[in-house]
Amino acid sequence: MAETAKRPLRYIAPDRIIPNPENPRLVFRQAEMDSLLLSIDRHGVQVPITVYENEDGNFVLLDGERRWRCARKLNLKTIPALIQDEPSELDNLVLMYNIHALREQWDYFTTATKLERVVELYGAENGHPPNEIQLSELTGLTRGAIRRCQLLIDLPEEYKSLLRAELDKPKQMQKFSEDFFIEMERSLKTVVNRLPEYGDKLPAIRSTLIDKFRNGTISAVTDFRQLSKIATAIQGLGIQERDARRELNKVFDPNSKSSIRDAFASAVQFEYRERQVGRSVDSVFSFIREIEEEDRVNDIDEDLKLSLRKLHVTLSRILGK
Amino acid sequence: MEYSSFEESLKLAARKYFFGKYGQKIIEGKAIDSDLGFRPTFYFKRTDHVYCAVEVGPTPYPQILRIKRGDLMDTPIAISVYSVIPEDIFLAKESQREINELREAGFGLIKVDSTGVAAEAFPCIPIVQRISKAEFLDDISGLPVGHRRAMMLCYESYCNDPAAGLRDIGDLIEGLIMRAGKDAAGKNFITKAAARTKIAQLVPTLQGVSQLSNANTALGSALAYYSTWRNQVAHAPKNATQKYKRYKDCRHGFKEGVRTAIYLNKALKDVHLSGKLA
Repeated sequence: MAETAKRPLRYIAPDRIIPNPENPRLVFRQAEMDSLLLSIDRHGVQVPITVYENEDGNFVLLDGERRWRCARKLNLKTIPALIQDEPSELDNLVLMYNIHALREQWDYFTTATKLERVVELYGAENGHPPNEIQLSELTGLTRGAIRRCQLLIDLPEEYKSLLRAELDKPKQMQKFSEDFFIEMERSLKTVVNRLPEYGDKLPAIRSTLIDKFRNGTISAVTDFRQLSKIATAIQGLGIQERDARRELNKVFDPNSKSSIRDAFASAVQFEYRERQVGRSVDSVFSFIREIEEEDRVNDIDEDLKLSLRKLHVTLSRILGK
Repeated sequence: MEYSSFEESLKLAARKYFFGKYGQKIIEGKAIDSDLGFRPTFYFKRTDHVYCAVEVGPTPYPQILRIKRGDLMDTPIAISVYSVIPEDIFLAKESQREINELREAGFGLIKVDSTGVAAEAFPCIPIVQRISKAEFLDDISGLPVGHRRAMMLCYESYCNDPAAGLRDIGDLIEGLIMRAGKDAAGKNFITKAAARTKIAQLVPTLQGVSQLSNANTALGSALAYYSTWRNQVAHAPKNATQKYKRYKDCRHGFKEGVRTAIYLNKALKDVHLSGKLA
């Protein structure tokens, strides 16, 4: 970003200040706003806001929207402001990112929407879109955050509208969050990668999953990770494709009451548990080889020896001598 | 540009409600008075001399109302203040304490349901006129049960319309005097015809009875109260200053009425009249 020349501090009437057009949906935590309101009522605005003057003679916010809102609510006559030169559209957006997205004053969906715009503007300025690393450096977001944003950007419009409507409600009234859509999309991506035939059915599948979440059949957003595990079990655990498909079809069937947890338990839970135990057995085996090689068998704790003997008896019974 | 379209839909519902009820022009994003340190979500003029300020948000008792209540009471403008919240928040158990605090502080509450229809949860009067229930109950604690019940009706009337409440207290005091006249006629202290005169004539008649001399001061105070406050309510104020004074004085007048009634009741009983209401 270009260096901007700063002018001295001015005291501006709050009514001459307008919000930044790149900041449409700020999320201000109520407790923080209340605390700031009290502080400003008692002590005034201690930290100047930052603005630039537009061609209409008004001042557009760059930083300090909370302070400005409190000043308006308290009907203050003026607010201290530092005035900068008007930034370019890309610079303005990147600045908003660095101020608001990183302070988590934007909800994730807004962060994602704005990211699309950053990509567009960067492409227009540089002749090619930014890669993930460049995007991360520009916005300050981690690459993981950028990938999560991309999942939201790629949502069909009807779900973006649903999410927008949910995010407009107070937190305690929200049913669907960005996390819900991120987890759902991620799991569906995994499912379609392994079983491409579900690709054409995604609209109907999404609709079913949303309904099932709404009515409590799917009870937690994290259940979608089990959906991914059913699909990855085909290669990872050697589960038959038809078995995985059968369980997934039950989950994706709007007329079935099957939840993701039911499907997971039925299709792959045992196999995953088995794999987990297998790893534990490898770990035990590796330990025993080590102590044999180091000639430290006599150093084994009595409690561990007792457990190993019990294990030996049980294994002899189930595996035969 | 709005902060949140959820608050926008709440605000639209509230605007529709108040416009439907009062039909007055809604002014948004501006302060009622440049010296008042509070800019509500919107406001309108309820009558010539009463403003209604509306604060929309997710909490029943917003911080701005908490910190500016004192200023609202001191400002020389009669303002009723309403908070507007979603119905879900109104019904939530954790909201009840805050809702009670809001009511006790003298503010009103509007709730908006999921279909965007607003309804009044409880009303309010201009905050400068507010008398808390606790304060009122403390004031009437010296009265007999029947009188307390009658006083409660006056208070409820006051909480909806202070001028009406003031008239009701005046009527109650008039009733005490008329009953005193009836009791005095029953004891042959005065004639039945005298007992039926208006209180402006009845009080001097009662004051002329030697057996009732110990109640003279109380009777005089009651007549003075009635004359002052009935006239006050009856005549229209001439200008904005008078209007505001009228609104502020309503509170004082109502409390004065309660004190006058208690004093008169005791004085009449002390001279062996019933002290009952007409």
